Amino acid sequence: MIVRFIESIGDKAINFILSFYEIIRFTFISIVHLINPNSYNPAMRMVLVKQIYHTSVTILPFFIMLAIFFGSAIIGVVIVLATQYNLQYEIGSIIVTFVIDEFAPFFTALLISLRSATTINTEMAVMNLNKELDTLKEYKIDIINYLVLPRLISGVISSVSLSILFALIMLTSGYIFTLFYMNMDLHTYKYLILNAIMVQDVVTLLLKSIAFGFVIMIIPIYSGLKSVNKNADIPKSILSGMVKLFITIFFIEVLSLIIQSL
Amino acid sequence: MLEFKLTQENYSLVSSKIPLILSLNIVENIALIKEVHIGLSVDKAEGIAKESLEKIGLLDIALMSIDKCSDLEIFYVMFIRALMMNRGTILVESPYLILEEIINIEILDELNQDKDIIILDTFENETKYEDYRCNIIR
Repeated sequence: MIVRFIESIGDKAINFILSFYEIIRFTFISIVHLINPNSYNPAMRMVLVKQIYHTSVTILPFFIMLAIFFGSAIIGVVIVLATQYNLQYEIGSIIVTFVIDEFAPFFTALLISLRSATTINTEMAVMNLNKELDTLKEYKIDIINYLVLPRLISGVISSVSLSILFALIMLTSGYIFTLFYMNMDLHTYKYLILNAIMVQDVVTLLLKSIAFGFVIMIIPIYSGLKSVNKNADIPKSILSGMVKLFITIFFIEVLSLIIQSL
Repeated sequence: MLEFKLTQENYSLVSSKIPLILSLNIVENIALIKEVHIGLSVDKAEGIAKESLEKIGLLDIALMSIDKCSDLEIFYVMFIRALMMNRGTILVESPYLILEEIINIEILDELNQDKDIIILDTFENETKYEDYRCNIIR
């Protein structure tokens, strides 16, 4: 009984390490292709344009609506709390740290994951099941160049651009709340925010968005491309991909908090 | 005696084992090969694909998705796709696994100018090749 228990833990540990190694290897190969100019051909660029459209343009109305709704509510709470604790003079840096460093990239990553990562995981798994990957191999079309790179690049572009948009919407909401709660005029608000924004905040936003965009695409693609032999394997592939993705997103968020606090 | 040596490098396969890409329409499926292998622009590659489709009267399906096409149309599209590869032979493997209608060999001739076509099939489909002018290897 105890031996079996220990063996099962060992199995899980070995599977976890192997899976981790595989995904790191896949990421490394993708990065090598990413920096190779020969990877870019008209077909790949066409997929890239379509993917950017699907990941960031079609999501825009829903994304803006959520950004206004949640962003306003959360920024409102932050401003009310700051007023209660007499932190009005720090309101600029509080808003900037909260919006630019933390909330905008994280919330954007969650939205893109829910909207696009599941779609991409399913798309890859279905292509795998339908033998379409065999077609690409037979016709000497590199799977990494044609399927992986456009999605990776679109993930990074979408994540960065939507995070900036989300931050702008939240900062605008912040002005509306400061106007009502603190009677702050636009000029003062603008002055406070611009004074509080530092290069470090912009770099944090960009680096976190790039990291989120990268994992939001690479994990579902990897999960979908792994062997899928029957229809019943598709939901399992999506579930496994999404669990790994959300663990990685939270890991990046925690890691960034630790790095910033150093 | 007909002798040929096939390696994966000198033939393009037309087979149910290598289907069309579902997320692409007909013309995109054909154009993909030239876009990837010779870096032809999307417009030019799709132009060539449309010319081929026009030759056999299938231009009207160019922008259709695969699930809107008949099995025979899909077969001809797979054949055109194989023609886009820079390989000397087209190997058609068991076409009647996916087809019920008889292939019109004149259509294949119309499309193909310079490549050898080899069709691999089982004896039970022998009658379907009765009108073919080519040799049948038993």
